[in-house]
Amino acid sequence: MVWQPRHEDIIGTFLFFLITGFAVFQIMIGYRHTHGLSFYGSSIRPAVNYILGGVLLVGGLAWYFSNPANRNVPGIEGFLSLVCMALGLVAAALLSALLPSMAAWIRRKRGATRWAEPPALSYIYRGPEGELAVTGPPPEAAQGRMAVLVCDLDGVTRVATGMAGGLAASGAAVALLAPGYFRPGARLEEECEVCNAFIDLLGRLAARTGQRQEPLELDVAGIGLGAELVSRIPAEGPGWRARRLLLLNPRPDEGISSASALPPMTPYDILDIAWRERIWASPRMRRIWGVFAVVALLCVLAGAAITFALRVRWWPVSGTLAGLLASAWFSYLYLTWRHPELIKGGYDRILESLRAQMREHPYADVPLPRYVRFAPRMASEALVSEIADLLSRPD
Amino acid sequence: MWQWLLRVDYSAFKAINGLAGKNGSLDWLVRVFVNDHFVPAVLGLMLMVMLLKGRDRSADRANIDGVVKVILTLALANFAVSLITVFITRNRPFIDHSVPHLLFYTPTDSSFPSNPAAATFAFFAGALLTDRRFAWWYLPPAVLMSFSRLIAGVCYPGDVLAGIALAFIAALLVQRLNFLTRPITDMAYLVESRLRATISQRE
Repeated sequence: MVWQPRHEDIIGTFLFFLITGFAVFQIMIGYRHTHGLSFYGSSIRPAVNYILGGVLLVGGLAWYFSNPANRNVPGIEGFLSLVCMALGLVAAALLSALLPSMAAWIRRKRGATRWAEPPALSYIYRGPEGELAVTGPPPEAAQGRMAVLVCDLDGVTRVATGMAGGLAASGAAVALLAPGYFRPGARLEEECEVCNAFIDLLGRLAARTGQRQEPLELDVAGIGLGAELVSRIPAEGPGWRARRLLLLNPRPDEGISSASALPPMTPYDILDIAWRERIWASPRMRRIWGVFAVVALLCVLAGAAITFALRVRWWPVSGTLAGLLASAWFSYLYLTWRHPELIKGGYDRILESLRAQMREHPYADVPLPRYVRFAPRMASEALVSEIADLLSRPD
Repeated sequence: MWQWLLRVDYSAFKAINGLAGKNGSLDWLVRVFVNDHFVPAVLGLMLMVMLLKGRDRSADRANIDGVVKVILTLALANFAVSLITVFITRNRPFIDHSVPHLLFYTPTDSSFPSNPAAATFAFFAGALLTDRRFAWWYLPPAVLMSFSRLIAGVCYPGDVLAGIALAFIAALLVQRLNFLTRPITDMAYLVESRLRATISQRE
């Protein structure tokens, strides 16, 4: 084989993938309406993203291939091209995350709020079966009608308080219910304990509104697993009657999806929370890290030795990268073999057990009041105003 | 039999390569699609679209699974090509024959099996088994690049067919051997689940 001189434009190839990757990210951000990744305002305007992405994509292709050195001459070799592509796309992803974070930082410097401020909640009940909090007018002044927001798996979250705040601002009396299903590892020992607890909490709420001739009319909205719970409640209970049900994205085939309804959070906000919560430092994650550290060390050493023996180009880098990739795979195989309980985590583990138990006790035969299903793919402000609009409509 | 196959292969090559040099626009198009970077870059960007096109969590998870399978199919097909070239070396057409219209530089590696055909069809084959609807978007670039290499005079049709066959075999293997993909998809799910749990943390 004859060696041919190569034109290795590594920086140019990296920049090409950075520009075109960023362009594709912008188009897909517009397509998905991911408001937290908007760098020009608080919400996504798809047309802006499509135009920006299209111009960058065409511009990037034209710029790179207008160089004769990148057209049909022995250029950058396959593996190196792949590395440039991977690094370029990672850099594009980081840029797509960095720009909205910086833009949000500048906006906040100018006085914009970080996200919907949680409303002042007055807890009227806190017990093992859950929590009951209200915001807006007190339940006694509810004029016989009230909006009830049933929280997600993790209790009173930003999503719930943001929505409650928005509803209270529109003049509604809002009760926030956080049934006691959110404790990880909680078991429903008795028949649909969660549902019973929830119905009981509604009864407590009705009792707080004083003695009435007519039952308290409730508009009940549920988020995520709360929505599943709402879909199972009877049409009426002691002292109350469900007038309307709102189910927020309660897809039975997927996990908790309330993140779709989150106020626009930039990647920095999410990382900031992850940092404060130290999600990598739970006992379970520490055990995973422990296994990974040992396997990674062995794999990197083996990778470096093999690439050195085979005289692979840039063997310290190639060997380390190959070793790290392989170590992720081997760690996983080891964990599934020896510690399968460590692999499933986050929501999925909790959800699976709760869903399985709830499926055994369906309330499908209960006549339901009218209900509206939401699959929110919009910013929370829009969602809240839509819910407020629905709840303020007469029958 | 082997010689007969080689003769048929060469005859087909001559017929297809004969399209070159007759029309300036066709030659320009062939030069675009035969480029080492153009089609692979387009396919790589399409892979990003495949990953991000979901509208809900279940779609996102299915897309993660599909992309992981495409990447593993690609890796397996490339590995198979590298392995075969260790044992079988076939000269490029312009080395053994006179090729009047060569529209590409003269690669020095073995012609059989065609690496670009295996790589580009790996996208199509890998996606076909997970996301049938989106997979068809991968087919035009893969066909155009593979066919362009024939017109450009750097590959025999047999090389391209072998590359395509390798891509499909790799895709079938990746589909069958679930343990190859599960570690990676489950890790992606784990990260996704942790992030989702984080942004819904209690106040």
